[in-house]
Amino acid sequence: MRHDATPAATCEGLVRIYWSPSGEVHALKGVDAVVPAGRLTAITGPSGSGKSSLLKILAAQDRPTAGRAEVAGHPLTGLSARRLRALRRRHIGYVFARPPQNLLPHLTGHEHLAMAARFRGVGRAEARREGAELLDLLGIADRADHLPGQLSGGEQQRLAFAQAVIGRPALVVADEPTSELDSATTADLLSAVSELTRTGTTVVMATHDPLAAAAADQVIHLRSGAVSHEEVAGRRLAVIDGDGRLQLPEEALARFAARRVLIDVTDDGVVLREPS
Amino acid sequence: MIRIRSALRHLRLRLLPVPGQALGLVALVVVLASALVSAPLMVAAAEQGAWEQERDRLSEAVLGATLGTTTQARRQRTSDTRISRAVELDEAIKQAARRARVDQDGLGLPETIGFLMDPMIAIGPEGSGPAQLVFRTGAFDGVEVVAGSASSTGVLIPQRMAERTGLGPGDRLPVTPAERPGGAELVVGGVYADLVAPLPASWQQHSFLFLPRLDERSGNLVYPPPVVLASRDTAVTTAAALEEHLFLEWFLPLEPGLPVETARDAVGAGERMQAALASPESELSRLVEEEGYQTPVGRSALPAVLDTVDTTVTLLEPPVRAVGIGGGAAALVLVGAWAGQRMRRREDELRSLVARGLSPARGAGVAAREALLPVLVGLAAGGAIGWLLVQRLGPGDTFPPGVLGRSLVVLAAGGVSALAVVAVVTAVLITRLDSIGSGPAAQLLGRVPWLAVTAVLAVVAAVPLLTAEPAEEGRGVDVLTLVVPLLITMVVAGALTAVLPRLAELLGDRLRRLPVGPFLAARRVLAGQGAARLVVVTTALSLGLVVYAGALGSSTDRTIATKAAVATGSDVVVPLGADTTGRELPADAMVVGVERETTLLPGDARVNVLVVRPEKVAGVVRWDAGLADRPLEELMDALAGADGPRVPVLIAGDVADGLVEGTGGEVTLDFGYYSLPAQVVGRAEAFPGQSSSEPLVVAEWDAYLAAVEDAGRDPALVLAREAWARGEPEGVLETLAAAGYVPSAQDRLTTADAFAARPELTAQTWSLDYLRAVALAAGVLGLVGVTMHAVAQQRRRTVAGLLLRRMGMTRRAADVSAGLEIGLLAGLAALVAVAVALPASALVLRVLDPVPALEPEAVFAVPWGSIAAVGGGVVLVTVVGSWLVGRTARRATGGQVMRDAT
Repeated sequence: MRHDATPAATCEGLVRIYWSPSGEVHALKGVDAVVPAGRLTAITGPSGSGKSSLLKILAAQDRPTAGRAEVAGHPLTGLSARRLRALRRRHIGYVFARPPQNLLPHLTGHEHLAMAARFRGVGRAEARREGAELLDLLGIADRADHLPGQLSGGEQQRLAFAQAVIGRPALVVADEPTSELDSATTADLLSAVSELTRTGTTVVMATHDPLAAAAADQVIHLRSGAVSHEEVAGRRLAVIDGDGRLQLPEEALARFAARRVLIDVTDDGVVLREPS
Repeated sequence: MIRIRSALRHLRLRLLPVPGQALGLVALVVVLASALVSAPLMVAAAEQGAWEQERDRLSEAVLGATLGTTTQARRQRTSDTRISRAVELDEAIKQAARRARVDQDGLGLPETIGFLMDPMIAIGPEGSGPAQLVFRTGAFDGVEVVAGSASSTGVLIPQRMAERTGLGPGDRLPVTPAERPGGAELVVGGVYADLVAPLPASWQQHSFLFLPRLDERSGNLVYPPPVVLASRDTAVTTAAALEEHLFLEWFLPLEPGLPVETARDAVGAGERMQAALASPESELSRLVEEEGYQTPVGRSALPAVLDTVDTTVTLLEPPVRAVGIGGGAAALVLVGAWAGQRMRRREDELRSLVARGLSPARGAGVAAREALLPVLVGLAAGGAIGWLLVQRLGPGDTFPPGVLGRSLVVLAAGGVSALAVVAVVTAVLITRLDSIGSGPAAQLLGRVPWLAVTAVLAVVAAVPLLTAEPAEEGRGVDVLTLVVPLLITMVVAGALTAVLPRLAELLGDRLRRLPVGPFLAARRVLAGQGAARLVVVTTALSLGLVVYAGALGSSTDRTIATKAAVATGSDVVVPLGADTTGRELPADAMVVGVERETTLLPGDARVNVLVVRPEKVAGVVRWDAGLADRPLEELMDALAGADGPRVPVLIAGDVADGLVEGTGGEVTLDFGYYSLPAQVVGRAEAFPGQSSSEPLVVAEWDAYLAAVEDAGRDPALVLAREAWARGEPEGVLETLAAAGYVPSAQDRLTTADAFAARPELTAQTWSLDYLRAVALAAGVLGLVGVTMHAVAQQRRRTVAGLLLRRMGMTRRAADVSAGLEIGLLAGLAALVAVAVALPASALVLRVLDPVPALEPEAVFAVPWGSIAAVGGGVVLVTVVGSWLVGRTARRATGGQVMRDAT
């Protein structure tokens, strides 16, 4: 088990703006997040909340418009496309939502892992050993000589995770990996992913699935391009940004109709009260 | 064993991971390779083809080398032995030929012919008269001996002479010089059948010995004296005894069936022979020195024929190269489209690899590696197909040795280009896949109104074509003539597909009343989505090329045939003596009168006059409806039916209408020393027999001859006669001879085939045939593209199709929908293709006129064959495409479809 103090990825004031013919789209509006190493982090939020944008930046597939993002100790801002690709190749694994998107129809499980290891620069013997361990860990060792078309959806996604993890990248990014699986298969897959994190793999996944969110060590909840709150070990945490801005949960916000608060700083903490 | 299988699987995965996809690339590279390799092969085959065409037209007898001299001294020198030593002269020439080894380079050893410079007088028991004494290698074999036999001491006399003089085999024939005392005696060995036209091939070069020649001044035929055939020694001895000098010729025949390369060697052999004769050490030089003979001078039609071949190749090369490169470029564009389609079909795979850090260069490398095997297979198959097609259907069936190397280089360049295109397209698409959103440049490009830009480009490119004048030697197909119709097609097809959605709005409720199948098909086509628009535009381009090439080819064929008919008159034209008369000729032959360089008043226009019997014209000339705005029968009826004191005439060519109309059609033909009043009864753009750009006045025979007589002139003296007939020259000459007409020596005979064999016409015809072949391949590719699009669309619509079926849509309705959609897309493309290609080809045809100096202007011909092929192709692609779509739909199982769709 490996839980390094150094986070696998950090984001500070992350802003991402897309330009389209109809105008600018602010997908991320200053996101602060830390993805701890060796943990499973889930990113949740409604559609359009910025999950995919954040995930693409964490996967080094995109660069932030403003703010700072660092993956495996490499700041993404200012990296050329070539360096971004190199970062992806060496330090980031990626799992798409649909199983067919992750796998090549003409390669067996073994061949997928061999190709992924070659991408990551892992030696052939090491790749074979690590591949066997991973397949065993994920419970698909007996299916490794099959083509993707001969595997179930859950097996395909497990193979996709094995492919993403081989070579021990600093971060595995998964975009709704359980969205096409039934609950039993989802549970199996999450259990396998948990096994992976126990061996020191850092996984961050976007998900709508409560089961997946419940299995995560940390849940980052996004709303309208910003982090609304986090949940760690079942406790809900509000987020304060570097400028001292705090985003209240909706039920708390509802108590401040005038949008003005009195702040009392006490020995026990900070208390917000209505001005009246 | 397992390791070998594993290695093979590994190799297959690296080189051919998706075999089905590779098949498309193989097909495209086959077309690419065929187009590229056929260009140099076509040029090489054209060289051989042009040579074979000329060789067949002129015969080997004409193409051999001829050396000529006389026994007359080149300066004032007397010698008693000069004539008798002609035998030594003959041997010296033959020795020089052997030394020059001419027989190793396509020429035969010299065959000698000699005849008297002035005919002798032959004295027979029943009459005497001039006779020509001829000796020739193998002369006795070329005649039919009807009495006696040939021998080294006895001579053969013609039947006509035997009858006139009463001589026969075994008789002695005293001969004397024509204008001097002296004499000799010959022994008649036999009698041979008179030689008449058409002469045997061996005598065609010396037809003047047997056939009358036309006296240009009098217009009469001058008959040669009868030919007495003797052996060389007898002839030379007799000539020496008569002190009559001899013309001597040595003919070095060209070996039959020679390829063009050996024919070029034969020219070199002729030059070597000439050099050997000029050598101071040669026996000939010694004889020339001793007897003062003129050194034999060589002549041959071969260099001129090879020049014609070279001219043909020179004229053919640019258009063929342009078409070949154009076809190759189009195939490369399609290879690029294939690379894009490969990316599209494997987008998930590539997106996954890009997410894992695949670089564009590495992706391009993988794509090129996977394309390598299909490209190699395509190159081999396409090269072989191109080779076979040109060999079987091209101008010639043999290629010079060097062309193989050139073809391989071209093939290799094509293969490298195809791989490069696949790599570049893949790299660009991976780069796009790797970027988020579209950059400013892409957004800017997206805002460009491409249809309007293409329209402007088309207009700008069309201006030079519209304003260009036909080049003097004809203008071949070039980049401009290829690009302009394609641009116009692109604009029209683009505009049509752009208005389809608007049409859907207009049709609205009417569409909804259609049954399910037709409704779906109509909605899908009228939606005018990107892929459908692209399919219509590209298919219209490929089918448009088929129609365009067909129209140019058919029109050029028609133009050449029409110009040949106009320039020549009929298939065969034989000059006759003005005083010749004969029996009635068959319906496909007639005698015409010709008078050149006359002045037409008013207007002082230089014209030529053709006098015909109107009732015979339709059966003899090859009339084209484009030559006049009235049918030929009507014109001839007008000519024959005119009644009045003036000669009824038609005027063909460039004479201002105002001149004729201003005088009510009354004109005068002014011959300088007399003039004829004429009445214009019709006009034509051109008329058979109009061999120059000068207008032609066509007059009715009887009225013209009567007018000439009224003017106090003898028609036989003022009017040259020609026999016009359809058919082959030999048959025509036989017909004329049978009817009692005596044609002049054959070198004056002209044929329509000879006209059509002009280098510029041959080059034009062959280059357009080549364009038609390449266009046909493009058309097939276009239709295959429609089918591939339909199948790809079906794959994309698998889920929708399954849902529709579950909602109750029958399989038949689905099949009808697919068939109608394919048919509508292909039909729209075909419609645009025909609608644009026909007027575009009519526009371009004007500047492609291969002989603009001759009337008429280029004539347009609707390419019904090409249009039918396009129509057939549309039907075929509809049937095959809907079957393939149905099969693809039925192969998808419901469970798998829904699982993949979630």
